[in-house]
Amino acid sequence: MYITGAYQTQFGELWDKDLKDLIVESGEAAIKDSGIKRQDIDLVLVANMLAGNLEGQNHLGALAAELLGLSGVNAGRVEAACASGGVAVNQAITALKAKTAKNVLVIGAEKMTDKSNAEVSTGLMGAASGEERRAGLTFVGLYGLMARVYFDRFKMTKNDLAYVAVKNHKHASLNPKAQYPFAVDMETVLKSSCVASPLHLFDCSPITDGAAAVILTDKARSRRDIDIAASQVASDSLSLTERDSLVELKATKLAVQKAYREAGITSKSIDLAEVHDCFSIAEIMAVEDLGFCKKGDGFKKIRAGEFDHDGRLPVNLSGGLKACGHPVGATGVKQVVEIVTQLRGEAGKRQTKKAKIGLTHNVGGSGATAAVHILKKR
Amino acid sequence: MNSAIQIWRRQKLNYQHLGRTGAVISKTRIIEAPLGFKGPYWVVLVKLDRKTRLVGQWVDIIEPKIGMKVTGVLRRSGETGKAEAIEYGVKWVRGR
Repeated sequence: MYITGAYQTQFGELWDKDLKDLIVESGEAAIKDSGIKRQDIDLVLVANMLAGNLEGQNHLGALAAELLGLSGVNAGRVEAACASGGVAVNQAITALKAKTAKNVLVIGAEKMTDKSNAEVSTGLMGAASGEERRAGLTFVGLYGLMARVYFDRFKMTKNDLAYVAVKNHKHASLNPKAQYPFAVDMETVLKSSCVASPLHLFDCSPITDGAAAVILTDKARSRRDIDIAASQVASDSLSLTERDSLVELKATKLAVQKAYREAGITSKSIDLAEVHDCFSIAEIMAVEDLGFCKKGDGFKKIRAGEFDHDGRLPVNLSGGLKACGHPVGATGVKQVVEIVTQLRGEAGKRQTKKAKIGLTHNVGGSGATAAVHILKKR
Repeated sequence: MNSAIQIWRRQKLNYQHLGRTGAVISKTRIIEAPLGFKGPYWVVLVKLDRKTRLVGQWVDIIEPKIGMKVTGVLRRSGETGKAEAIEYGVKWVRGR
């Protein structure tokens, strides 16, 4: 299985674009990038979480097919909260493996900034349990509960946490499609207002409009095509209260263990990764759960620069969810686009030299779903 | 916001931890609240016994602390919606 086309729209507060504009721009550009004929696409999957909630627009598979001149094709929507994109790519690969499709277009798209923060925050909480909603929790609050336990168990400080945002903003400053393409210093992160303790504004990914699309195919056509070495999804309880541990995401560990097995490699083979840093604490847990370092060492390794652009294993060269932006349904697809761009050597100023095997890690809710992909340069 | 019938259906679940005691294992102060709530307020993660953990709002006058013994008390939940049905549930205070 291969990725033959990839494209990401500008991420940000896109006042002049609606969901349909984002679907058309990303879909058309991915088709063009792949070079395949439109009529050869036999499955369209749209990853989206909130359109029904925020815009009253469901039925996105048929809508995308219509907009892209593909009416008649098998088309549907995939929803797994913020992991919708990663799960949609996994579903596309499943269809290719089952030989029910030969060329699949996956579009992740989300329009979030037309509504108030409270409306978006309430919509996102649809990914949590009823008990968590009735307690007045938000996703910042849920990750705040995990962060509090992590702080105490591993003696992490707010300064340690702030390094995640500093790193990812530094990376985003090299990405013209990022929502926040500028660097920030420690003081800016530490002095930002509290959203849900202990997490501050700069520990949180933003509300973002944006889309990304990929074309997956069963046969490679050119040297630019990227090999899909593994695609795995795992799940856990919706509610934090049912989890075995509050300082790791079991779904991430299960998905990545399966992915390493499928690809026949270990974490040591990974050259770069895009991980789900919806909040700073999430990136720290992710680098540990993915096997890039030991549990409790994530913040130390980030602070030591191991996951910087010029570090041992660059993480979130796009700027991550924090600084590139987090249009929730699009994020998992955008992570794949970023790794494909890096493996092709087409990432411009943010290009990493050692890009042969890349990993994407996309999480839904507070860890109820995790999707992991391993991509290889041919 | 929930309808009267949804609230009625949840009654047994809403009150099951009333009067129970446990300990705070994590906490967060919500500043930016979702619809139906007015921040800021504390939410605590409480361990009742080896198997049972839950989340709920903190309604004591003192700040919750990790390890603090707590008790579940009956309080009004959130704001009323269009149906104007008032929902009650269990919130948490320092243990008595």
